[in-house]
Parts: sequence; C-alpha cells; structure tokens
Amino acid sequence: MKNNPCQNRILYSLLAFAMLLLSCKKVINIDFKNADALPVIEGNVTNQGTSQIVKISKSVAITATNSFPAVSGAIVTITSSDGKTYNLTEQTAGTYLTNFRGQPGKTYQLNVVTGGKTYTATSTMPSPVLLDSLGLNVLTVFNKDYLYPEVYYHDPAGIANYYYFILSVNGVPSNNKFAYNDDLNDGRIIERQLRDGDEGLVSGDRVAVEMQCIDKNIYNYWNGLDQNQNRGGASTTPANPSSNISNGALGYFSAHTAQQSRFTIP
Amino acid sequence: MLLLDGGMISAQNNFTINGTVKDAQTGETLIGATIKLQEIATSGVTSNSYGFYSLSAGKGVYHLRISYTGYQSILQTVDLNRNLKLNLQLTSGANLNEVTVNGRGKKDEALSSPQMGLQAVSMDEIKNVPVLLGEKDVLKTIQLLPGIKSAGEGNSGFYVRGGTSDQNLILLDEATVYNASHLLGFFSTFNSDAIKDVNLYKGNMPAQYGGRLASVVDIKMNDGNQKEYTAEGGIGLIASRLKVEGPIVKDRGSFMISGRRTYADIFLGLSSDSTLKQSSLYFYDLNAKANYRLDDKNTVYLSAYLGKDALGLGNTFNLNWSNQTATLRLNHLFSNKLFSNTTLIYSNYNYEITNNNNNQDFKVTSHIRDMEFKEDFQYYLNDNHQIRLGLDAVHHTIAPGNITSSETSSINSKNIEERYGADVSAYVSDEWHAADRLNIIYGIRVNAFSLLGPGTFSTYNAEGNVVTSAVFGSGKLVKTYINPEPRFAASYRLDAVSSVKASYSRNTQNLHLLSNSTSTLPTDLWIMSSNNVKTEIADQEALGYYRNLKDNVYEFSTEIYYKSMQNQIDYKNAAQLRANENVESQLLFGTGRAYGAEFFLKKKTGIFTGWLGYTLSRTERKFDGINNGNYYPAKQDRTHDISAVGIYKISKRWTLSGTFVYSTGNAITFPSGKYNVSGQTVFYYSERNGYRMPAYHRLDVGATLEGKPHPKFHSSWTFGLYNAYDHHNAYVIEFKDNPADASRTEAEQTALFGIIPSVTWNFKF
Repeated sequence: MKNNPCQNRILYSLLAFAMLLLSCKKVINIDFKNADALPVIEGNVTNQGTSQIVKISKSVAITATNSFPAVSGAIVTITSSDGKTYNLTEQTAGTYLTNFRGQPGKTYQLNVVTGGKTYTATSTMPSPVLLDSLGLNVLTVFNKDYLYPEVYYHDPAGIANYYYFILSVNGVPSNNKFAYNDDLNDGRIIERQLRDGDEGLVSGDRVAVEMQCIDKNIYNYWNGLDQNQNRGGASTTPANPSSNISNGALGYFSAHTAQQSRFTIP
Repeated sequence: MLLLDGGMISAQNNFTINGTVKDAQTGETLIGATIKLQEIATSGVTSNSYGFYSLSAGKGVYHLRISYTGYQSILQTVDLNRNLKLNLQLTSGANLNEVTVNGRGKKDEALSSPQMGLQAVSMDEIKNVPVLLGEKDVLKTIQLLPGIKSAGEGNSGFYVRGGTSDQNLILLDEATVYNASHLLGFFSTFNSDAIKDVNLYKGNMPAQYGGRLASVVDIKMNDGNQKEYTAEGGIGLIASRLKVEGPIVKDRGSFMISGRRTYADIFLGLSSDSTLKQSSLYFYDLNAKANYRLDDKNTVYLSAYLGKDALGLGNTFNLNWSNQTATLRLNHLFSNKLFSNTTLIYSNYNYEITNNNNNQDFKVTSHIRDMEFKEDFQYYLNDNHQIRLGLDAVHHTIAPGNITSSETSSINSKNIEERYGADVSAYVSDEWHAADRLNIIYGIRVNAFSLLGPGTFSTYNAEGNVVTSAVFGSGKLVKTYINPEPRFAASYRLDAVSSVKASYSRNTQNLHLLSNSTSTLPTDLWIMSSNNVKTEIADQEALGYYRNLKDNVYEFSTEIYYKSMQNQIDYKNAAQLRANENVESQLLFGTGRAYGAEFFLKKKTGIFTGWLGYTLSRTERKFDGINNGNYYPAKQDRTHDISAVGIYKISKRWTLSGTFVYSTGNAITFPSGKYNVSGQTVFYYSERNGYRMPAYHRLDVGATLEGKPHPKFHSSWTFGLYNAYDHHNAYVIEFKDNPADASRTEAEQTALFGIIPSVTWNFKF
C-alpha cells in the first residue's frame, strides 16, 4: 500500500526486526499449475510526440521461458472523444502504431479485434501536473548514507489526481510500480521518494524519471500490480489487477500526460 | 475449617452446603475444584471462577469429598441437618514426585460435563512447555491443542476450527484484549506469572460468552497470596519478570503486582551507530490485582493491565501501541444458593505512529475503547438445576485513525469520524442433570447491537461508489441488529469410563478486524457492523466421544464439528483500508464453512506426561467476485495438524520436555502464468489459494533444573532449544527471475527462525 506513507515504514521496521533474527533464504521447488495463454494488450496515448503505440502479446505458463509471443494481424483502432478514429498499423510483430498527439481532457477508446474476439477499453487523459524537479533524499542507516531519488510537484487542490512514475537508473527500469493518488496530499507540495530496493544510488548513476498523470482506472491497475509484490511477509493475497480492457484480456489502455526529467548523481 | 451457621430448613427437607475452596498455602481461590457427596453418585459440583460452590441434598450424614488436580483430596464427614457454610482449603501436592498435567476437575469431570470444545490449560503445564526465547506464553501453548492452530511464526494470532484470528474473543479478567501481541506478534501480551487459569472454548461457548464466532479465551489473573508476602521472578534472554504478592489483611484481602520488560533496547543504546542509538525496541506488561472480603457475603476485586510496545527507527519514525484494561467486580452472595457477580470493565487499545522525515511529517492516532457493565447470577436451584443468567452491556468507541501534520508536510491532516456502538446481551442457561446418565446445558443469549450516531453514514454500490449518505445526530440509532443465539449441549454417560456428547451453538460478531495482509499488524483496523457490514453469524454442530483409560491415567477424546459462517469479510483487489473514510466500500461479503475431526490423547499422571493431538479439517470460503464465485480454501485451511507434547520428570530436580508440531502448509495464491507489461515480467493468477505452502514442522526441547530445596528461597533454571533440528520453515515465498537463466522463474522461500537456544533463571522467595 504504497500510497499510504505509514505502511512502508511499518514494514521496514518489521523487516529490520526480522533481519535481527537472522532470516535465511533458499530456492525451493513448487509444483506449478500452468495457466492457458491469454491476450495481453498494452496501449498508451500520450500528449507527447506524434505516434501512439499498442502492443499485443500472449501470456505464457509460469514454467515456460520469458518469451512472450507477439500477436500479429489484429485490427486496432483508437477513437477520440471528438469523433476522430485512428487506424493502427503493425510496424513489427505485435506492435501497432498510429500518428496523432493526445490531448488532455479527451477520452479515447481502444478497439482490438484478434482471434475472433473484440476487446475494448476507454481512458481519459487528465490535465497535466508539472513535475517541478527531481532531487535526492539522504537516509542515514547504520552510519551510512543512502541516496534515493525524490520527485517534487504541487498537487492541484480540490480535484482527484493520480500519478504514475517510471524510474530507471543507468537505463535499467525499476521493477517497482510507483502509483499514487492524492487522498492524503490534496493540494500539497509533495516530495516523493522513489525507492527501488534498499540499495542507494552512487556517484555517477544516471537517474531518469517519467511522471505520468493518469486516470483512476489506470491508477487501480498499477496499484494492483504493485500490491502483488511481496513486502516482507506482510503482503496482501496477490490477485490480477483490475484491467480497463473488456472481454478478459490482460494489460491496460492508458491515456496520460507524460513528462521526463533526468540527472547524474554528482 | 468448618464454619457452621444456622440456616433455614427448606421445604423439601433439603439442605444446602456452600462456601469457597482455597489453596491452603496461598489462600488463592481454586477454580473448578470438585465437591461431591460420596453417598450420592450423581451429586457433585465444581467451584466457579471465584472458588464458590453450592450443593444441595436431603437430611443425612454424608462423606464430602473435595478434589482438585494437583492437590491432596479431602474427605470430610458432614451431618446435614441444616444449611451449612463450609469453606475448604486444599493442600498443594507439589511435593509429590510427579507432574500432574490435567488442568482440573474431578477424575471424570470431562466425561459427565456436557461442555464440549473446552480446553483448560493449567499454568503448571505452561511452565514446562518449551517456547521461543524461553518466554512462557499461554497463547502459544494453547496452539498445541487440537483444533487450535498457530497463525504462523511472528504472529500471535491463532485459528480455531477454521475461524480467523479476529474471531477469537480474548478476555483478561473479563475485559476484552483487542491486540494480544507484542513485538509485531512474536510474543503475546500475557505474562504467565500473573495468570491463574486459562479456558478456551472452541465455539461451543456457554451462554454467558458471546461476541465472536470462533472461540473465547478466558484468562483469569492471580488474586495474590492471602497468607504471606512473596516475590518471584525470572531473568531471561529477552525479558525479565518480577511479581510481588501478599495479604492486605491476612485471610481477608490480598494483592498481586507483576511486571515484565524486554531489554533489547539497552543494547541498542550501547551501539556506536547513531541511528541504532536513538532507536527503540521494547515492550512491557504490568498486571495488578487486589481483592478484599468485606464480609461473608461480599468480596470486591480490582484488576488492571497495562501493556505497551515501542518501536522506533532513529528519531524519524515511531510506532507505539498499548492495551489497557481495568475490571472492578463485586461478588455478592444473596443466599447460599444465589451467587452474583457485578462488574464494571474498561478496555482500551490504541496506537500512534509518528514520522519526522523532512517534509513528510505526520502523526496517526487511533483507538478502540470499551466501557462495559455486566451482571451475572448463578443460581444453584437444586441438585438437578444450576441456572445462570445475566446482562452484558458494552459501549464501543472506535477512532479509526486521525492524521495530523504540519503546514509544510506533504501530507494533509485528516480526521476520520469516530464510530460508536451499543452492544447489549442478555442470557439465561440451565445446567440440567436430566437423568442418571444424562446432563444437558441449554440456554439462549440475545444480542442487540446498534451503530450509533453522530456521524455521516454511507452505503455503497458494487463499484464502491457512494449511493446514499445520511447524517445522524448524537446517540441516534443508525442500524440495529438483533440476534438470538441458542446454545445447547448434552452428555450421556455410556459407562463408568466413557461418554458421548452433542452440541449446537450459534455465535454472532459485530466487531470486525480489517487486515488484508498475511500477517496481522498493530495498525489493523476494527470496524463495527453497519448498513454495509452485517453481523457475522456462525452455527456450529459438534459430536464427541470421551473416554478415560487405564484407571484415569489416560484421557481420550474426539470431536467432530461442522460450522457454517455467514457475512464473512474479504477485500477487493488493491483495497485501500487505511485512512479511508469509505473503507466499507472496499469490502466483499461471502460465506464460509469449516468441518473436521479432532483427536486428543493425554497422559495425565506419572513421571511421563503429555498429549498427542491430531486434527483433520477443511475450511472454505465462497465470495462473489473471488474465484468465480466457487468455494476456495481459506488461508487457514490445513488438512493435517499434529501436535505432541511430552514432559518427563527424571528426578526431583530435573524435568525434560519436548513439543513437536506438524501441519499442512497454508493455502496460498501463487502464479500460474506470466506476461509482459512495460518490458517487465508480471504474474498471472488463475485461482485463489490454489497452492500450498510447504508443510510446517518443528521440534522444541526444554529442560528445567529445580534448585536445591531451601525453606525460604527457591530457584530454577530453564533451558530451551527452539526448532531443535533447525528446520527452515517457509515464512514467505517470492517469485523472481532465476539468476542463472533470467528467462526462467524460480521460487525463493524466506525462513524466519532457525535453531534458537534460550536460558532463563527463575526465583521465588
């Protein structure tokens, strides 16, 4: 429950205590059940650039290798709330593309026909919130300083805002899903630490952050994915995140604003 | 010992003997001692929670036998030609060269009492059972009994017959303890020095108990030594204990004060690290009790408990939680047959989180508070009927969590409305000696629960959006649930050594703990029944067979049960339970069922004592929106559960003990597929709780060395080895890319405790 500031702290305390008691790890065998393949649709419409991309692939069994088959030959369209329909064309296998720039306030509808089934989703692009700056937070534990990237922004008062941050360090994207709402921060100037694991940053690290303003359904999706991550034994029962795509497809369709910031640790 | 007073001659030429049973050395009242007239086979009563008993018979000369396990029996001749008052004192048999394991009662009390699903644990047993870090713990020890399962390491919660942890009512001198855990669940709040008696009812509780579906754990504190001042204590690896007790006025009143504190934080202070130096990690408990006999008919008791945990990292983050309870009681004898107990109870549980991280400062405070009044009557009508009736009224206050922050903080202050509830129950039951071999307890408890204003109360649709919202004034009834709870239990003696029993009971619950994480946290939220959340209801039927073997050296029992549960609670995906005024919109409601068979074989006397328990069970839940609406195994579903406890008294000074537990792993949700999102592998889950954790097993061993006999001073050493064969039981299992082949997924388990030795030094003078 990353959107709540207290939760992480409690869990870190729990972890610290568990570590005091010398926990130990080992790899074990699980007799897995294998699920059938399902279509996975990942669609984004942003207010940046001119091309919008939809990727379609399939899920694989848990015991298989991480090679996810691309789905070719789908019919993919995006319809804007102003009535325009864009047909996407397949560039490489499973990657569909069209040219337009998304606009805040508009609602977009994705339509995908593949394997004899039609999948639809809608998403509304919220108004952008400015990413003021990207900075560093210093945490001292066991006489050692740990550096974590921190974002600063001013949440607009009186409306519900949802944010999603993508962190990458030295070009490697973080596994963490930094999804936040403003339930506890409405109207505040916000400092948000983006912590990827317990390892801090070191001098020379290149840090890049993309800030997205997303709608509520997409927040629920990212937050749901985030909750599946184990947090020192205090995790929730994992479940598939609620997707905004109909008909049982996995994945999401997100219309969002985007803004990037980067710097190198001195 | 014989106090005679003139009584009235009753109509049927029947006379009554009444009085209290006490320990001859300390003056502690004895709960559950058996008082029987030898000439009348069917006679016999047990002393109640205050040591009081009452027994009726026709005119005549009788032999009265008073027995209590662990004590020397008394046989006394009584000439019953008028009502008698007989206060009895039993001498502890502690000098016998054997350990007596059975909690209580006459030889065959377990056979003839209709009560089912009752597990009584004596403090003597607890003393010898090895535990983690040598901290004697009643809540951990009862988890070694069949039908009661540990919620896991690092969790003081437990599951009774398929119930969840919040479906256990934990009472300390009648006050509800809302969070019975210390150090995030590694230890329980009960300091065993201060405890006299523990009873656990596995769902078939008598009518005087109510409010939870699965069980009642009724814990009574020591009254204090009536005869002389004594002190005892212990120094252990993580905590030290001290208890002082003695008479206020000899044989009239006594007091007991008992404390315990951990000292891990003292070592933190010695650390050179500045963060650690400012960190805190401790808990303490303080139990106090006093009683005073005003006259022959009135005794007052005052007992209190204060326990606190503090956890802090540097000066940036602190989490403190605390339980406080207080109980004021008046025992009053209206007559030699009518015993009453009037009680005022206060219980409070609160936690506080403070965070001083730069520009993230906030403080969260929360509490749940009860004010309670109880009036209980026990009427010993005649030889065949014991009536119990009473009233229990509780006012609940829940402050779900207030956030306060400074102007410059990233976090807004937020005030979530307090909730108030009135919880009133009335009950009556009759313990009826129906026929020579047949005993029946039947009764009913009626509970009326009202959610009270002031506040704004909403209802929600399936999407979790507010449908209606209404403002209620102070004291206005928002929603009321009235539930009759019938209770029935019967026992039939097959012969001198065996009996069969049957029972049915309905239990209801109007306080619900919301916790969607796998371990319980001190910050988990209690809520009350409301427009959205209905009263949880459980109906349990049970059948049992009880047998004593080898002239009562062994006791065997088996019970089968079936329990159906309504209005159970689960959570929507990614539910937001904290700091959410619409928290009830995050919940799902469904049903559950639990059934199983429990087997229990106990060796009660001899130099080797102990027990073997086995439970075969299933627990399932059914919710719209989870697992396509099909039944799925609950997290606490464990097919097999075995526990073995052995205590071997080698000599007058050495006692060895060991416990072994084995259980099927918890049901858990693991991935069955995977897919790619944003260039990363994420998991797909095909069914809820479709997998199992690895089986859990562990052996603990202990040894106690009693000090050389000394008239004034006694000491002993307790050595323990937790997880003696160092089995790494899975605590969590995580899935990640195989480091050798990143395209493959592997499962990695984390184990919490390997082998852990402990040593404790105990003293008494």
